[in-house]
Amino acid sequence: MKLLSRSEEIILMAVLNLKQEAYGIAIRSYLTEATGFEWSIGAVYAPLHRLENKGLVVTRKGDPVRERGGRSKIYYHVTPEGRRALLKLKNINENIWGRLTIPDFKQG
Amino acid sequence: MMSRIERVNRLPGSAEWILKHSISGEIRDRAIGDFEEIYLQLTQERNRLYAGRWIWLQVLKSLPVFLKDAFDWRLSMFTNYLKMIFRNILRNKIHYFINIAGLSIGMALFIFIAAFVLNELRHDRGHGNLNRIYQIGSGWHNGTPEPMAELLRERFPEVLRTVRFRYNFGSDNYRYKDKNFKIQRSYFVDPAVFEVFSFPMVRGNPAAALQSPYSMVLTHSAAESMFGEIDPVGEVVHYDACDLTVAGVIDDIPQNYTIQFDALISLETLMQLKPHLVGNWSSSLFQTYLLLPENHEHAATEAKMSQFMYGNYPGYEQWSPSRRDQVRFSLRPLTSLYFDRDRGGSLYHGNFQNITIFSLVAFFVLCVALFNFINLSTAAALSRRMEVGIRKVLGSRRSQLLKRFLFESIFLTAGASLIAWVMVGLLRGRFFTLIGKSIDFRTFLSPAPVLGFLVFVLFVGCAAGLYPAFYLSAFQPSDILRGGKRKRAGGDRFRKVLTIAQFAISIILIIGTFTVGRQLDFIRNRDLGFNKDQILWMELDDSSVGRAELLKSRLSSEPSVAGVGLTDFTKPGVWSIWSIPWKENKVDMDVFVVDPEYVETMGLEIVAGRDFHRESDKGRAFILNQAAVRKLGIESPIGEKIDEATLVGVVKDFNFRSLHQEISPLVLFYERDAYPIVNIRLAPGNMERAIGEIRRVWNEVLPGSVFEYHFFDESYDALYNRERKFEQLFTVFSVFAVIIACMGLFGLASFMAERRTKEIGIRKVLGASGSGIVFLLTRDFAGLVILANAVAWPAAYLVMNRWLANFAYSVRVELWLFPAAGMIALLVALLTIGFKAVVAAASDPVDSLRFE
Repeated sequence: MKLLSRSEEIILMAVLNLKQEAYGIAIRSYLTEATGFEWSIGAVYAPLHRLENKGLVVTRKGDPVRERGGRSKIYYHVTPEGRRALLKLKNINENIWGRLTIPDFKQG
Repeated sequence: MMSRIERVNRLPGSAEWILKHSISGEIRDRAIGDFEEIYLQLTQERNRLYAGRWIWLQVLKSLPVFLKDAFDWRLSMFTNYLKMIFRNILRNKIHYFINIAGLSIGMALFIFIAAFVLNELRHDRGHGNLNRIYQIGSGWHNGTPEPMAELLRERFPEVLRTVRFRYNFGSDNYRYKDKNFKIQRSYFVDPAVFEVFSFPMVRGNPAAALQSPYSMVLTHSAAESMFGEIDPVGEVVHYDACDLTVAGVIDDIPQNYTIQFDALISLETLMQLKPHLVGNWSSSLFQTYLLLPENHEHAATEAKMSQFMYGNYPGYEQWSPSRRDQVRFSLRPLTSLYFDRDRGGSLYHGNFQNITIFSLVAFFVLCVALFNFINLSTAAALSRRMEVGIRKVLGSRRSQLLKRFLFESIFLTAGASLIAWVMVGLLRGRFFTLIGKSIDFRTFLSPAPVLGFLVFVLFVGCAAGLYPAFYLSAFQPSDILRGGKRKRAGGDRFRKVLTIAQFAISIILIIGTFTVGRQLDFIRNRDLGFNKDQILWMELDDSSVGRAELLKSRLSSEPSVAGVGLTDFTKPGVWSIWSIPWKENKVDMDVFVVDPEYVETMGLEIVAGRDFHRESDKGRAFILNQAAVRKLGIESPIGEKIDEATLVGVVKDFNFRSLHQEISPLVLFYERDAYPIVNIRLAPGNMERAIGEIRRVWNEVLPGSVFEYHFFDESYDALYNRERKFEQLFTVFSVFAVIIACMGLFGLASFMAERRTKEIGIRKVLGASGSGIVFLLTRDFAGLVILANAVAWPAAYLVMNRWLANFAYSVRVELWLFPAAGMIALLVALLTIGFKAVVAAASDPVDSLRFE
């Protein structure tokens, strides 16, 4: 299976961690805090769109919000497939890092 | 939803517009919502200005990502569309084959014609000075005397350069070392030709090339045929009585140039061979071109020059209008010469009318192919209903289905255009033979034509797909999927209209083909009133005219010469009009001044009175043609007088011009015995030997003079060559139109037969005969073809009448042609449908009914 891209992986984890509150702005500020640099809205939505179409996240429609010009907040949730994909990535990551024998990286 | 909650803070309008149009549908609202929310928050926390800046920065940063995202999704949509198209093609092979084949043929024809038309319209583009070059026109023709160029250059400072062309009527035989070559078209020309016109020289020095006498410049092909690999510059070629030195080689001349030739010889050469031409105002065989300054108002110069020229004619003020017309001076822009139909003296003519006709015909053939596409796509609706139904149930909107079907037709059109290009590549040679010239397709590799072609493909794709797309996407899933009664598919009427249109076009083209063919046969076989075969003519220069009678008597004694007649009349298309005093009036008529043997030599038929008598008639007799007798309104012509001369005979009308013009009144005068034009009728037999004998006599009587001769036949044939090509092209087009229309009919018939499989089965079980079923299936279509006749006949009648109006002598639009063309169309159509119908009628009802 094709692995997720890095941004997809990070965003999927953000959605997972934000639980019930994962909508666009929340995800974006979470990412900004977590990575230390600013994410443009496009940079958030394009990978989200792909994740959605791969079936790793699903959406839920909230109530219309005045501040959004009457649009609803769309909340994202990780699907079981999404969780599996993340776990798989986690294993791979640990595996890769674990194999590294360069001293500088050893203490973590 | 929007209306329930009032919007608190709008994004800047343009930012919102950009976002709306760049973000792909599914995530559009979410993302814009985010933008708006943050914007509001920032306006409240900081200020509107800061928020605005932030928004724009965000838009800029996000835009590439959004666009790429949108593109990715569209792409995946397209792969799905493509998959559906290929599945459909596999399922309906005949239908798609007919669609694509018809479109490809239609487009290939269209490409050919478009290339032809573009090529014609871009004539002479290569001349850098195109808009500054003018040809001097004199009356109806473009012949000017030798000294005119210099006179104009001296009198009018705006004449920057002059170039004279004089066609080389002489032999086309050249000899290099021991080999003989023919060079068909050559001109004697001023050295300034390379300054005024752009004939790129690949070898040699253009500035020096034609300065000296006995130097010549060859086109690349001519040089190659003579010298092969050798560098021709400096080589000496033997021509007639002199030696010519090759001074340069130019690129071959594109066929859409007005001026065409294979070789140029310095004008000095002619001046040395025929010194009497220098300063001679009476021989007008030079074409004179002027180079005027940039953006020059040529009308003013033309007025000045004509004023000046007319001043040189004694008694010009008293001349009749038609006599003035004869010497009317004009400056004709080089840009206008290519399509100049009657007055061009250049060897090559474009023809604007034919261009228009062929563009229309190509368009119509394409229409026939388009109608096939539309018809078959809507007729195939049955097999498409399921797809539409399922897609709609799964949430497709109509606009998406529209897009999907339009994409299909554009995609198929693009495919057809590729096939069309392959056809163009394969059949290029044939097409070039058909139109009598070749086109370099590489010249179209510039942005405008390429873009034009892409737009054309898009346009054809949309034209073909729009109606089917609307038609198919309008299906209601509930109707389709319930499966119950199959409503008679709508669109039947529209399909019928299109089928009628297709056959109307085909029938018009068939009638056109027949009419064109009949008219051209008529012209070819028409009695010209004189025998044009085997007559050649030669022109004597002024110094030799005195020996014309000697030449004539010597020639007459040759066995291969059947007759010799002398005249002032030169070549077909050039003539002279005089004002003849008649009773108290003056009447304008063509006048030939001839010797007594002219009538006999030309094979003119005397219908009243007698021919000239050498002994008694000189200066005292004239002969009229029938048109002149009619014009003057004389009852018993013989014995009438003009001045001192008596009318002795009447000749049958003969066509001394093109059949595009009516035979005009003509007077033949016997005035002198010596004239510059020697007409020779050859005895049947070996032409080469005859010409050899004539040449020998010529050289004996007129030693040192260049032997030049022309055939009447060629001059007349050249006038009708154009029409012959026209006929051939026309035939090809109508054949293809009929083929494409029948392919469509075949497709429709097979759909109908398929749709009525069960009906046919039941009818057969109930005892219908095979022929009855064939009749059932063909009846509707035959009706359409018959209806098409009603549309086609009046249209064809009008169109053909207009075309025939171009000829002074033409066949009538024959009424029997109409039913004949209709029958042909009907027959071909019946054969097409009949084939399908017979198969359907022969099918075993068990097969079609078993599965019910």
